[in-house]
Amino acid sequence: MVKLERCKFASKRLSFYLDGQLSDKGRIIVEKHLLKCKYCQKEIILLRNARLIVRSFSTVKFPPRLDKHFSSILHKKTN
Amino acid sequence: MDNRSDDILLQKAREGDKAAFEAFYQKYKGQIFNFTYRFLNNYELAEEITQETFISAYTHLDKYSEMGKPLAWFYTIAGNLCKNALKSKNIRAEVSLDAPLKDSDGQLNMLDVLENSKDRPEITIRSKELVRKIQEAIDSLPIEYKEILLLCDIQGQSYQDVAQILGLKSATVGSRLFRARKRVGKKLALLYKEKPKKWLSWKDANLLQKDFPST
Repeated sequence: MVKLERCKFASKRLSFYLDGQLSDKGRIIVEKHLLKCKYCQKEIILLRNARLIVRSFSTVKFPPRLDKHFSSILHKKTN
Repeated sequence: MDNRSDDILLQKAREGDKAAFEAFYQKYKGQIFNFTYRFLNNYELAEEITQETFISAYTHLDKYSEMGKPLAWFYTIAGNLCKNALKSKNIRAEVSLDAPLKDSDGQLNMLDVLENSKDRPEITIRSKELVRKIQEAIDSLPIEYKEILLLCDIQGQSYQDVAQILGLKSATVGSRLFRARKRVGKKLALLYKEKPKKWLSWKDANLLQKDFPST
């Protein structure tokens, strides 16, 4: 398999693009670049999949006993 | 973030109104705990650090007004305490399989997968393995990348808020997030021999902007 040549464009813009952080002009530049750059096409799939997986992590249940501890400490404290 | 009403709660707390601070705690305790838990990957220590975060904030309420965004200030405190804990206690990461989880948005998530696969041990094992691998991939990141990944992708904070929390430029947040996702993505890509259902082509990647409007 031929190794794709590294593209410096990726590190600067792809996460911003994925998260909707670019201006319209910036977004269009990225989209035009993606049409022709195989390296960045591969990169954006990787980033997008990583984001999807990390975001699929559930919220951890809050430990109820912490409420009691916190309340008791707070009422002894003066700020 | 509901900055205005949160700001009022903390202003009242600063004037000695403990009930106001308790209301703030009730509102955000879950978010802060989730953050510390994912940061430390240790349930008991996350409890301890969450409590310390709120108590420390309470005793230093005079410093709050400088920042303006209440929750961001709490994330800063929690993040610093987590980093100190990791440095000083030489924590060995626990795998989070037995930590109680809850469904946050009603959608199918890993908990559902685990719950629904009780009668199918082969799925349970695969899912538990997946949870462990994801946590391992996150834990393997350098701390400055891990913190940004947790804040942006798990806590749903914007680039601007994360920049404020960590005292960085938004551009730095974006480039560190890029590197963090890339490392995690590479590690996890090895797990799959086949593409999960939701894997899309690069042309669909921009559609995901709409799926997660929080960032």
